[in-house]
Amino acid sequence: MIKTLLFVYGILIFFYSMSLIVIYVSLLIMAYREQKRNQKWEKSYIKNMVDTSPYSLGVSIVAGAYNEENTIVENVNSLLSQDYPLFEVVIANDGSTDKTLEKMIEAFDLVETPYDYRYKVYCKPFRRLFKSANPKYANLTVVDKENGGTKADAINGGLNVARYPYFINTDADCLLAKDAIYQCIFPVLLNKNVIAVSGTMSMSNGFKVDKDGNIVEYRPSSRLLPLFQDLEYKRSFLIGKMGWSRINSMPNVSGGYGLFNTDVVIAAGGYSYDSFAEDMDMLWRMIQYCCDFSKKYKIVQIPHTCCWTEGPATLKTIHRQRTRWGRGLFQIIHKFFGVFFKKRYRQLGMVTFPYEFSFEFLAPIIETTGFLTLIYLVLTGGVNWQSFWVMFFAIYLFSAMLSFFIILYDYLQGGSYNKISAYLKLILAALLEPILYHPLITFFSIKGYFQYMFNTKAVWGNMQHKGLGQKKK
Amino acid sequence: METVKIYGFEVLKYYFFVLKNIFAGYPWQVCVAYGIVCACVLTMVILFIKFLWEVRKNKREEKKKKDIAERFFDKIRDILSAPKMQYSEIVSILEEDVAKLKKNAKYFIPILVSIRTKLNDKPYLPNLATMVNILGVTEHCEDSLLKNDNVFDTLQMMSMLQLGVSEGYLANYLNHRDRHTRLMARMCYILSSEKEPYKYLDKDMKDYDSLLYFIILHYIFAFLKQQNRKLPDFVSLAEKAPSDNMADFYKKEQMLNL
Repeated sequence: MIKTLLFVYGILIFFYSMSLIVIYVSLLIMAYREQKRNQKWEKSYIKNMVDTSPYSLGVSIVAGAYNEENTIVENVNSLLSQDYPLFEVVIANDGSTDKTLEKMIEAFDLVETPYDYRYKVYCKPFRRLFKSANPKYANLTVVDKENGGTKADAINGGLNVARYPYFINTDADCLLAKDAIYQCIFPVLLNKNVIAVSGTMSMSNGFKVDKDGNIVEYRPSSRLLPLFQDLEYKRSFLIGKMGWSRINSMPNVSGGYGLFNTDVVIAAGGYSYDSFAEDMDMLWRMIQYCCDFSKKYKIVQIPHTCCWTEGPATLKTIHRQRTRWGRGLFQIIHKFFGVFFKKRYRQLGMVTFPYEFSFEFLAPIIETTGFLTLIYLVLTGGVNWQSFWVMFFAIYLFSAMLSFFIILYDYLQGGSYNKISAYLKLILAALLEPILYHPLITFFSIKGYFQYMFNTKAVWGNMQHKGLGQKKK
Repeated sequence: METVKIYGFEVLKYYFFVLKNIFAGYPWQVCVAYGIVCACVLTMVILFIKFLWEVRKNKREEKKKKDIAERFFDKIRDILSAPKMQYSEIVSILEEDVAKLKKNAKYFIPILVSIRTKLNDKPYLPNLATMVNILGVTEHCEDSLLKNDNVFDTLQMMSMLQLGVSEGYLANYLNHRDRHTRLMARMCYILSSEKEPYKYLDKDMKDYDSLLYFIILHYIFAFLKQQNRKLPDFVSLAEKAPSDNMADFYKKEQMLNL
């Protein structure tokens, strides 16, 4: 009986793994085609027209800030330095208990302004609104609100005062490329049905900055954890999301950087304050809204690196982040199970959800049961070691090749980094990742699933960003 | 031990045989896995070579473009910003043989487009037509359209340079199956046609319904107005518009061009 069960299990896992490999290669091909489509426009010249056109679209950058007194001023300055003709920066101070607000008031000459605050989407009570007395910062708005405890609540607080039809959701500690707004608004200019655009994100952990806080060298971190995440990000944005974007089946627009249609977000109810994966939850609700009201929608990934963020550098912080992501994924699957294979929800029901369920949600469970089965077979002497090593080597080779490909692709496209040695570090990470990093992430995801099932109290916590200004000291 | 010497194609056949039978004695799952992994790796290698080839080609082109930009960008910008000049004056400022300039026309186009779009506040640049003539830009664009080479790029550049060509060169692209190529060709048709420039503006109107085309059309209308050329009947276009956005656009253009 056990032998038959193991045989059936083995066959199922075999087909599961092979399907995953075929999906990855298909994504690679689709990503390549999407990239070609993206390259056909002469964006740099069109930008000159957009800069002076009366038809340019306004964009609000909305960022939440909670206890970020060390970095808030330089971060807001970075957001304000965007090269785009029509934009505003809205900072939602989420009831910070340190001097975050005071530092902003001092640095940007902020004055309290009477404002008829309307709750278009739910958030914790509004306290005050600040505008700058200095014309240089005329496009800065700071909303002071009570602490909601989540990023979603802070973004909703900012969203209630955003004036433009599109907004960028980012973190105050993210470093944006100067043309980040333009790169993200371009797909919207091209197609009015675009409701969300995801810009490529990269890790800023190893960056070298000068005394003014300007980046002088783009280099990967020397620590393994951020290096693994850098690779993971590149793979996710340049292969995964680019590929899904080709067939309008993007599963997620990262909470770190993404452009959204303000009206659709508000109509879909704004960010969910009780979600552990508020970005994915928001996107899926936006799609549901469009499908329910028979509106056309398109979600786009662009290959341009728009944002650099500081990834967790310690085991403790990555553990906290990934268990939350695991819990968030379980919550999303639970919440949206109704869309599974529902034609009404178009790509979300027919492609995105089945993929997320089968290959993102089930993957850690299958890997763990596979590992436990292997231990059982080793103990009972049921392993054909020759076949085992062939299969192991084949899968390892495939995953390493996929990473090598993305590293070389990044390098040949002009690259995230200036030196070849930086890429050698990434190659090393690609070799070690399947053995060191992946099992860890699987374990954290499983832990997140258990936490969700047993309703363990969530710990959001602060990541303790060092910030670029702190690194230079 | 007996050895067999093999040569030429036999060597390839030998390695193919070894590769094909490497896991012949293993379970079928292993053989299938091996086959799929080989196919995947091969696909990735092919894609990578394709990338490599394209990036190398682009880098060569970029280098040449950069060299020419370094030598001529400032000169061309000064000429385009200046009041009307004679053909000979422009040639003497450029300090280069005209035939040699014409040979590198494709590298001058991005420089001209960049300056033209940056000097966007001036809808008409008096020396642009002469400059285009000296650099052989029109001939280059016509050649690309005729040979169906890099058509979308050429059409984009032409619309940004507000450059007209004989209508015949556009004929193949005015009803092209790719929406963007078709629309760009129609934009160029507005600039090129003397008789009926707006023939296609009220056809397939919903295709134009994106902000990017409104921005480009606005840019073209501003140039045509400056040239005292006929503008379309905005009121009638607004009435025919399939969406409120487009109707608003034409109404706004009517106000701006009164």
